[in-house]
Amino acid sequence: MGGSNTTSSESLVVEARDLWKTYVSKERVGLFKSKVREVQALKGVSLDVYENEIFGLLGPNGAGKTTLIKILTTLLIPDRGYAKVLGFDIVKQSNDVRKRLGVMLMGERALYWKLTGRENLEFFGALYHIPREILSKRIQEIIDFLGIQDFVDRLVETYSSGQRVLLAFAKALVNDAPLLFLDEPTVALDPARSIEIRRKIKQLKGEGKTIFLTTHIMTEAEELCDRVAIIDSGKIVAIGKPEELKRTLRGLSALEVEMSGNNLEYILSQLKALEGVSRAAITYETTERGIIAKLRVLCDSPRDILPIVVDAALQNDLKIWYIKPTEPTLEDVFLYYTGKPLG
Amino acid sequence: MIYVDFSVVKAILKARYKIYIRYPGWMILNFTLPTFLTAMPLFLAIGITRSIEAANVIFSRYAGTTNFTFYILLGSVIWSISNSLLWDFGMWLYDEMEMGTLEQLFLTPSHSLELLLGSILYTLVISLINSIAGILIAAAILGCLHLVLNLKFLLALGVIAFGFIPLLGMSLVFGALVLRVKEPWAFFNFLSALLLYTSGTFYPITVLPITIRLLAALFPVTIQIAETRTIMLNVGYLFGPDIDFLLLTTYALVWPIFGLAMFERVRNEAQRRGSIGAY
Repeated sequence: MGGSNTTSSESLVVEARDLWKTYVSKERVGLFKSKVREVQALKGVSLDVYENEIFGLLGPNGAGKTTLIKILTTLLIPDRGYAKVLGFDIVKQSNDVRKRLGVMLMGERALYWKLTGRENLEFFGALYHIPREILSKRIQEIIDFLGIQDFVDRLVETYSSGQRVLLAFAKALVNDAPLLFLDEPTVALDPARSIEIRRKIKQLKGEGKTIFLTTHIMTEAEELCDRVAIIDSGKIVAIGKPEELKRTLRGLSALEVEMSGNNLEYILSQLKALEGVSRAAITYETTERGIIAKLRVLCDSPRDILPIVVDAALQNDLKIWYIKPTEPTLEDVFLYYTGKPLG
Repeated sequence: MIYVDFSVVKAILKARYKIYIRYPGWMILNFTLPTFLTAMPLFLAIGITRSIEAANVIFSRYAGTTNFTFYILLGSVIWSISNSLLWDFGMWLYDEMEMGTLEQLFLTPSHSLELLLGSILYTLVISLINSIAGILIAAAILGCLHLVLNLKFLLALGVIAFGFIPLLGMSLVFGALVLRVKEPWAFFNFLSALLLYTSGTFYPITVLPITIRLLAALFPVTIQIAETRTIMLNVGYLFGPDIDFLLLTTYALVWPIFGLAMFERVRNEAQRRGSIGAY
């Protein structure tokens, strides 16, 4: 697994083989009684990330994304399997790995709110053993690069969510690491800031960095990632270039419907049972029109499915806001491999 | 061989100091708590005996000094500062877990010894500042400043500072407990009260039953308080100068090593269980 459409001459930056992780916790159910609960977070994950690529890890909550990132960044020890990051074993040579990583985990939470942005960067820079004069210069470069000079000298507690995410991003750059792990880098940002961050990520790739990112925004993954892996229930279910993955849906098309009303889950189950329907899923979104259900149907022929959807909507007194047959996107790839929508 | 980078230690010290001074309420509390702690038994004594002079006479029968106020003040200052020092590391860890910064610290290539040294050095410096400020403020308000402003006070400060070393070791054990059980506050409150009752903060421990006195001797705070009173008021050895010093030195050697070993063990286990950032 991994490495599809990559040549052997490209150097491996992350090499993970058969990683397993089970969380064991004790839950007290009585004064002297407790119950052991086991959650299998990873079930034999293997993947490769190559130098200077942007690699995206896609998966719903609880799929194992964070566990995998924590293992690769040395925060967590796997139960089985091994991984090498930049040629160093993540368990036996964890300090060598940490020196070479820039990590943005948990976004805005991972900052000292009673320090200013600059003080946070100085503090974390010192923890990477960066000499003071080099650190000051580096911090100024990052501030200019991200355009955060307006607020970097204010206490973090006065920042907006977006500003805190930007500072967390800045923190990941402070040691000028060749490999960056970015966990949902645009999650709390407004559209303009998200575009800006995506531009910066591309710029960092242009500077030769390798980027491992998680996201649940499919358009972001399509725009940024050279390759993506889809993880579900602790397993990698698909891996490859976005275009390649879309090609695996050859012969399938998507039907996108926005509607509101009741009995939507019933309609979904009816659609899933139809011949020619490969996958169907609904996500809900709160808009100024109220709660809108977004139905996505992956099928052989949207033209055949469209009248059925319209009929079902009429019979159940549903309001259709939008309906459109489209080419499959990465979102459909995700739906195809996991059977559920992302988000 | 572990190489300690003192710029990491300094960075933690500096960051924690900045955060501390941005919460002035804590500073005010630490500076004034000894005054409140001393005033409580003082007013109680006046309430019972009708005057501080009468209280001094009765108290001298047990404690060997007629300066009831200063006796209590020394106990209060050392107890309150030692108490906060003991829990400071664990509290810091808990705060870091809550803020999400603990994982960030462990993501850097800094050795945990550097992180611990930075945090502990901060605690040591702040505790000493709090001790000096707490004693001076309380002594000025309670009318015994003249007893503090002499050379013996410097020697007493030396004993207080030396007693902080085993306490730092104990604080690592408490830190390990925070990392392991996450919510150790019931234990914290119990031990805090136990220390207050057994360390002789408000009375000579000779009034306690012998079993409790032996238990009290296990806590460095008890010896710290007794030795400081010996220096400042010429009363209070626990077992005698040699044994007291030997005990404190043994604690200063044993507790940090035990604390460090326990903390590292729990930290490794937390890394395996994936519970470093959980709280």
